[in-house]
Amino acid sequence: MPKKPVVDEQSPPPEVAAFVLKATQWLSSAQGQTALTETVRKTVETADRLRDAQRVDPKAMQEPITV
Amino acid sequence: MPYEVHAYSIDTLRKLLADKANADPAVIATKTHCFYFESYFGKLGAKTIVVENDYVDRDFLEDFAAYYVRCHHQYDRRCARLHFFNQQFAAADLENLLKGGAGGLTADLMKSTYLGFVVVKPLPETVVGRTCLRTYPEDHGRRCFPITRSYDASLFGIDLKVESLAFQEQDSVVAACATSALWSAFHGTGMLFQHAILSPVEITKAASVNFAGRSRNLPNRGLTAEQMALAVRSVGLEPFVISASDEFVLKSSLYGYLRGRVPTLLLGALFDTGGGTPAFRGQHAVAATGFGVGAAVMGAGGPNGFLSNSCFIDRIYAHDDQVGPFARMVFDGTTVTLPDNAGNPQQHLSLSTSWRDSAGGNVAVRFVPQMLLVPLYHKIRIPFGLVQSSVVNFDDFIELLRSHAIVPLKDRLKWDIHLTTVSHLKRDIFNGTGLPPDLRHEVLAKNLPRFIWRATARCDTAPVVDLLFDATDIEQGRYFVHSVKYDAPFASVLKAVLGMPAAAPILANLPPSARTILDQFK
Repeated sequence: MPKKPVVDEQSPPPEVAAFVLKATQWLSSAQGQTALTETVRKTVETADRLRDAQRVDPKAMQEPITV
Repeated sequence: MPYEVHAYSIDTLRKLLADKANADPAVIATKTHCFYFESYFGKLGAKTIVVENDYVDRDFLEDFAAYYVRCHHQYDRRCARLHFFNQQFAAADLENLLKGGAGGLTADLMKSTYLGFVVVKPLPETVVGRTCLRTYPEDHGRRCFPITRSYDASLFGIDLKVESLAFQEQDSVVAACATSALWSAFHGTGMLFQHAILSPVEITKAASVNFAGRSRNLPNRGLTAEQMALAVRSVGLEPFVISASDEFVLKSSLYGYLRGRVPTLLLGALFDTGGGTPAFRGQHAVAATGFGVGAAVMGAGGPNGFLSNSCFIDRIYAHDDQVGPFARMVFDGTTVTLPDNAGNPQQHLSLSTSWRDSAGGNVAVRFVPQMLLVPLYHKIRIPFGLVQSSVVNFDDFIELLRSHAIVPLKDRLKWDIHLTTVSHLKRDIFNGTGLPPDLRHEVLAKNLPRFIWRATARCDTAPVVDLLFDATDIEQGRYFVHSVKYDAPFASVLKAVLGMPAAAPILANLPPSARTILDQFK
């Protein structure tokens, strides 16, 4: 089998390089760090809120369904 | 005469229901079901009714043997079955066909114009027995009925088929609304998970085991949610209960399980709001059988702007035993104000119903949803809510990047999260396009569990990523199993971002389920 060409896996494809550069700058900035921290905090809250919204009142399980 | 043929009209249908049940026509005329059938058959374009006069219905026979046979009054054990067609023909045409005559009505024409059947039970009031009717057309995805199955009806040697889910009204003797809803749901799960489909009286009895302290089982005045759960266990399934008072949770859970072809029971309270202050009419149960989607997000969307197909649901179709099959319950934004435990007024989510008064007029009966009861095969262990929460968390992160133009996504991701099986998933991938050959091979050849939660993200209409979760795993396990990356530039940017030292310490604080998804992109 012919040898596969060696590709530098560290360098992103050209169509994404601009996005990666922007991400690097933004994530290194104070604004980026704050936004990411805030999103992670909100994410944890959301997970808790969704879990609570699915809880069933045990009393409701015993109400007769009669209609 | 073993059969009759009538031109369809609602008056003829009312008369047939009364005659064949030997019921009072005045009572039948005021049934909500008749008003519902008028509208339903009108939309399906019914033209002809064929009456099968002497029909043995297995479900009614079980009920008859368990209860009616011991009444002093002699109830008939035989039913009649009404078949509906959207093609006009007469008794002579059917007679000619049965005699083998050529021309005119053919078996193929009857098959292609078949709309389904209604069994008429020989009871004084509750005459609507097993009913299998064709659904409304899907209208380019506007309506979705994922849990219908094929029912065979052999009519004098002509094999008729209808795609439906069986419905029947409660007889208020061996079955109440909860029993009827369970019976319909079991018709779906029985085929899906291969279990016996119990008759109404068998369901009531199964629900009443270990509830000896309560009032008598037969005649039955109703079941509790606990008893419904017991009936679900009796067929070897696991009852999974979710609160349904939050609109997003209700719609998304319904979507997730219904798209997985699992019929879901919706329990709630009925309120008559016609007189100002809502008047409690009682607890009610229906079998959710489908949903309708609108062009825009209806009501409360997802948390933090999360966008999923379920956010577009604007109505539920349900087998409501007091109304009819596939009855509309609409999310119209109306809330019902009820006092909480401290007496303070609270707004509650409510749905419109198709309940009517005895003159056929609309009545303002609102359904306040309280819980969903999902009958699940025991191996479907990971609940929908857990998967959705992981996806919402992942989406929060992606949306942060997108809003700062860091990932190549034009619009916010729109998610489709539902239960599926490995065979359905692989068939979908195999028949689909858009995946690079190596990736396609990788997914098709991958060893995956039987039940899978599939979360597909789309940007506009193009798929971006499929997240696959093992529905058979344990909650603290690594139930996220695989991602299918359709959008290579998106996956590359995400990989680069996740590898940045500036992001890692902050992302370590994400819930573990969301972290596991991100790890797949590294």
